[in-house]
Amino acid sequence: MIVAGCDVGSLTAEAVIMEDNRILAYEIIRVRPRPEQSASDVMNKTLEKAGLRIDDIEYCVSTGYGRGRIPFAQKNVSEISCHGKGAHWLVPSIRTVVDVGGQDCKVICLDDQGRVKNFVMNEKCAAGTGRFLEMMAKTLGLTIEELGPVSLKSENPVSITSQCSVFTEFETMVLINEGKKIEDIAAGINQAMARRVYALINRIEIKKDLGITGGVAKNVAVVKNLEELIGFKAVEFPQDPQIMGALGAALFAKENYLKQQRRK
Amino acid sequence: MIFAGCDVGTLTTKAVLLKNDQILAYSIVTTEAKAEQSARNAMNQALSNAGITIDNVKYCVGCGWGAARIPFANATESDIRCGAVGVLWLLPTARTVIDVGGLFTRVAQIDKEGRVIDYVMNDKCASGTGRFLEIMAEALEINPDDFDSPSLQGSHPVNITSQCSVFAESEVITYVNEGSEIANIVSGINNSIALRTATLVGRLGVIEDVVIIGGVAKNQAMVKILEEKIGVEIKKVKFDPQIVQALGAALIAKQKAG
Repeated sequence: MIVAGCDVGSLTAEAVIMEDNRILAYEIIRVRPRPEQSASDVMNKTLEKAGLRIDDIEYCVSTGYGRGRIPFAQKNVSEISCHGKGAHWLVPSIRTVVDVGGQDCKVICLDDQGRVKNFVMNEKCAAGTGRFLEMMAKTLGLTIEELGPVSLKSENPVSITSQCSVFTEFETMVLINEGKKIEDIAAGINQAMARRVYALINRIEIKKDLGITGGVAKNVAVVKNLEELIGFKAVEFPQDPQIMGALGAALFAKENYLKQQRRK
Repeated sequence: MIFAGCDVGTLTTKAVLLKNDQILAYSIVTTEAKAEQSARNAMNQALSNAGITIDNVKYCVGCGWGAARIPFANATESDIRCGAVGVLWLLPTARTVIDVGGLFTRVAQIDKEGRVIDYVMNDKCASGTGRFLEIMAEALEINPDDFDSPSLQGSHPVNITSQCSVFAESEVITYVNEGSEIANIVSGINNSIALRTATLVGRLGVIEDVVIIGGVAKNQAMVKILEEKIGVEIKKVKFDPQIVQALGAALIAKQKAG
């Protein structure tokens, strides 16, 4: 049984192909102007990696903000459910998922079956999202991948006082011109980012274990700062944390496919 | 005797030279990385327009984000106070000043002496400011000045649902990709700026006459929508609205020197 999950987010799109209980292949791409385009591009790349064709996929579930516009998906499921599902499948002890995506940030509470009990979300302000980090990395002349590692060299992190991305961008430019070290500014930005995510976590009662998903989970400094704020370590996923939504979608695809077969 | 005002804003730096009671020259330059250099650039341009040198300036007052770092300023004054003094000189009946600048929007109620009675500003979010307008212009690949262009005012404005500049930019890009007409997107953005400004105005309330200054005040299409939203006429100052604060600084320089 071959199933797939496709997550079209605001900044990146991911696809996961599974055979029974095994991940066959996954891909992450930068989104294209249209969700349909992003979905077919990322799916074609993943299919190629797995050595399969679209006809080989028995069921596909889409998720993410473009989930209603994926032509090859039989069903779409909210990204909150998908992140919970994917994270719980990888780490069954997980009860809280902090998903920091390109344009939003969510804290999702799960029951012992990986079902969503409750969640909070920031979708009003780019502070505390991947877009915020991207903007500041650009201003610092760094890639998004460099922002975490560079900041680990800092001995004297600057204090970022603004919350708004536009204000922080200006503050960053001023700090550069004052001659502050790039690593110290980067460290201040990662701290500010962690503070924003923590403010959201504080709005909901959380339980251990906690895992961080989404692209920002790859920023070592943000994860470290966030762990310091919450007072314990986040679980490590045995897979790329950025594919959690697509993985959850693939798992929903599997469930739906089996249900369909039983009905026949 | 010549007096000067220099306003180092977050996006642009302005200088005004005053001779007795007349504006001798002024300049607007882009704010550069360093406040000191931006101030020099603006002042040198104004001086050269007037055909004089800095030695001719008797007293200079600085304001704006970089006020403390203007090398040739004799004193500094708050932005709101400078704005109030500049506005009253141009329109003595003004009692509410709306200033939409680069990163900050301020609304102030003033008395006839230019004293600030009360004010509100956006301190947490850059939505609806000059930088917001710039980001949208970049996303649309047009000039910020074009937001005022009559040919770019659409009859069916798109709805910009995000307040956040970053999210609104993504929305604009989506509208472009979906084939919305640029004019309808421009009008949607003007609506959005007017709404943000009107919300701030609403927090303070208005006393007439109401005046708008700052770079974004040049966007008359937006000002017209703002007028409708707040329900009172917004008077125009008979001068470039972007340099009114620097003008106020120059007028204060004259008072201080006198």
